[in-house]
Amino acid sequence: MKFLLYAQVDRNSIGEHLGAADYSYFFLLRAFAPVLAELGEVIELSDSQQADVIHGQCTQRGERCVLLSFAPPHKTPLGLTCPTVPVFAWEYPEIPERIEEACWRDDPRHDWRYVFSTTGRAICLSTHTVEAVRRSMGRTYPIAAIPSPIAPSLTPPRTHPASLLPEGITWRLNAAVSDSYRMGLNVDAMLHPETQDGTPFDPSDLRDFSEVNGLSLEKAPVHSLRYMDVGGSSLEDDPYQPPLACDWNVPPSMPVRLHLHGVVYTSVLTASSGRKNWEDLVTAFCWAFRDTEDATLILKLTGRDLPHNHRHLLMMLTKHAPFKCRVIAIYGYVSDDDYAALVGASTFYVNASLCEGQCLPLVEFLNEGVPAIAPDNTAMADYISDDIAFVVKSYPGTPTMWPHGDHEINRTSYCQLDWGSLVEAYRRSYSVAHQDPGLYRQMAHCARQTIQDYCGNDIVTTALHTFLCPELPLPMQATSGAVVSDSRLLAATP
Amino acid sequence: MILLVHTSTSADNIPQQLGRPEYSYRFVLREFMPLLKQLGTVVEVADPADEVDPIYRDCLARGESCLFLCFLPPNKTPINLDCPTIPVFAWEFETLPNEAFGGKPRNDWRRILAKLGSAITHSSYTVECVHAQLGNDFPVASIPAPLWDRMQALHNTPSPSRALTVNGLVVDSTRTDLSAYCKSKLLAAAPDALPLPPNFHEYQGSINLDGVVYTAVLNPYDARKDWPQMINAFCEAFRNTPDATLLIKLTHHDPADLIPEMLEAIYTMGPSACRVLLVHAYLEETQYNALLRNTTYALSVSRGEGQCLPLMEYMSAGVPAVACRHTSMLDYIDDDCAFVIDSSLQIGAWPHDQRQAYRTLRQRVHYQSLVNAYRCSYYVARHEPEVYRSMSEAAVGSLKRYCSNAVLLPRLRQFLEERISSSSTGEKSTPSLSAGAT
Repeated sequence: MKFLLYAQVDRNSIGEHLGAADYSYFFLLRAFAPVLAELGEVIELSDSQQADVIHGQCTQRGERCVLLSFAPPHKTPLGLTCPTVPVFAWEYPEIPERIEEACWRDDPRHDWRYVFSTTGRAICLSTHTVEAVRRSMGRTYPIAAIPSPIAPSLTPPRTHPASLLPEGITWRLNAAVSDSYRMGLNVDAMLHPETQDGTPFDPSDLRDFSEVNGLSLEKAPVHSLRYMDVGGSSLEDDPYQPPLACDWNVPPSMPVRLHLHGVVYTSVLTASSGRKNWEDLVTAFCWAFRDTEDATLILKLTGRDLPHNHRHLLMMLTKHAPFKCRVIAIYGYVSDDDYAALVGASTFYVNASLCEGQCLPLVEFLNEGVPAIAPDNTAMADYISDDIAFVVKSYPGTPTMWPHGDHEINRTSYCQLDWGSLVEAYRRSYSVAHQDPGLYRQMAHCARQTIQDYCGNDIVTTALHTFLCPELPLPMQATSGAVVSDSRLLAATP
Repeated sequence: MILLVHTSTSADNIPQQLGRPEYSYRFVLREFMPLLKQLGTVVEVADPADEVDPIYRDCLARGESCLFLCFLPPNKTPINLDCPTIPVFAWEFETLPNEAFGGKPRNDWRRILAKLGSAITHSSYTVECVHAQLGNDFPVASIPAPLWDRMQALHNTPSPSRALTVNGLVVDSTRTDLSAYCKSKLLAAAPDALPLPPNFHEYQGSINLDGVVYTAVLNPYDARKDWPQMINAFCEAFRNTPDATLLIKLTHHDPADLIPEMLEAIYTMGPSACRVLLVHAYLEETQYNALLRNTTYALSVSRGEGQCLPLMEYMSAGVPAVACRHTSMLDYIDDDCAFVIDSSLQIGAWPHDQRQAYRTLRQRVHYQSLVNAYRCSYYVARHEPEVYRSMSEAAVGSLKRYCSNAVLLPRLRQFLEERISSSSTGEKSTPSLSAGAT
């Protein structure tokens, strides 16, 4: 059996496509490749037309051959002789089933029913998407929810969060980093000096109101502008230095030393994607922990609008200032080692998405035993539960537009997040991290197990076998722990 | 007793004042007038700094009691008068402004209220907000605008004609080329607004209000009112329902810049059989009443309300509501008189804080709950007249308990008498602030 794998972005071009539409299909392909290799021979194609050549050779030999197209259905190569199976991520409750957007008129594949009818079967990543497809294609349409596979973690189970150690941890990494401790946040700077708010001012106010019933007029202490403790004890000859003081520009990538202590929340996301809902994620954090010094949120941001994301983050944080918690942003790529260290430093992973096709970073962190804060909507319903996460309430049915259409008319929907429930999840998780190590350990353990049960290599191998080649013998499940390179490969996922 | 009253918006030329800062305080004062007149001699002053204290001193000399009720936000209330000053203010967010932003101590409302020693607001929710900042002993009364009695003239009167006469601007979504207001065209025209539909004036004169009519009276520039969600959910709920009408009465002196965006909100939902009417006209009382009498449901999807005069008026006159049950609406919205829309908390800013700093919480209205409330209310209006009638009566009863003379007169009388006695004993009733207030 031959598995031909094709994504429009391949290993040679991924560098220039990071953060662009569909770039994550490259990582999806890379995740599936070693698992498929257990079932047959895997060949990665740089051009989908190569499929028919190989298919022809296989047919002569009597060998089966299938092309797995890692792309949105409307980019599935059709018209090949080689049987083709689209493998795609989708996060909305319906699929496009009419050519209803002007920019779709030239390509019939934008009616996904046409694609699915042509290919005759498909693989998606979640049961939520299976439902969406069957709603259009009928209950018996052959489509399987097979999530992106992940190997078991090789790190020992965590007994407690590293950052909760009394001395904290010092993390050295090479990246573009901004740190709210180094932002000089001042909410009054939001006012233009000539702004008139209509409130009277009399110089005597300062005298009359300097103290009323014990209310001092002095400003609240500003915790956001300080240098101390940012990177741990001073090490002058350390090439890794604390983050630079921050301005409106994305800081340069450089060796950075961060001293982290307390409870560390991490989220890896493309901020410009509205569905990731990072505004709620950040504002709820700052609100929940405005008086809590030992809570840190690390945002690893990818995408093509990083300068805009950085300014947006500064604005959000400025409007919260002064606050005692800490927000750190890491812009763009980090090495595998730095990424692994980020996972190791994290107490909780946070997701506030309005919809997800799977959410690989969330899966990765859970797999490493990092419990989560996340809603259980869309694809996350397949693995998020109270056992491994502080579940955030969300409500389906808010209108939105197709992510790849004209962006003028709402034709589908996603969820509305319950912001108050997110604040509550931050507070409960903080309290568990500090006061209930037993429960934390249990959640961490359960997270690893849940993810392996959900998308471990064995599970995915079996699912692929059942769906693609049930007539062939299922290989011995000797793969556990054998595909060592896998976790590294996934660690590179943005 | 002399009751001096003041607000910043003149009683003249109201249409031109709509949507300007504090304009709604004029309407609140107007509603308070009959009640105040039952308690004393009411004198409206235009310039408190010049007028209040001479009258107060004159009263003192005569031995007559005198209070100054200032219908303004606390930060704009005069604080250095000799006359006992009671701020009468509306507030709809969890945290009272407690920061001297902009370098102005008066933006910290705690300081104003503590100095003035008492206050009147319009709901038990806001009373709790004040107590949270100033302690439970702080004398603050919930006196909503006493408008229930005035509205009884409309309750149970025979149904008027279904045609509403309007002199002003009317945009009817079913007769408008909505695609002219798509996002790309709005963006192409920016920073200018697209022109209004060329035919809007054709509908001057008379609007047919057959079918199930939802009426919202709101200032579209007030983000709290959340007309985008109101419109989107309406179009979704009534995609195939031609006899559902959403009438938005725009209370702003110049809404022309926002009307294209409101039309875009309709367009963005795709084809829909229902009708959205945007009405920009100053309605004389008979017209206003005719609109009310033709309204099936009073509608609010607001993220926070200090009391919400239009909703109170409509419900007092027996129009059930589609509304949330939060902030001040906790006092009068329930399942008996309204289709309650779910909501939950989210971050917010004080509306008058030009920094828009995150300092308070507001409500996030749940979209599908709103869609559901539209559909259920339509069904009741169409198919369950008994339920509708009982909701109508429940609305009248609920608002009677909230804002009728009979309820409010003794409450206000007692509150004012306490103020007079505490001022005559020379005590500034400024209890210590609650522990934990910073």
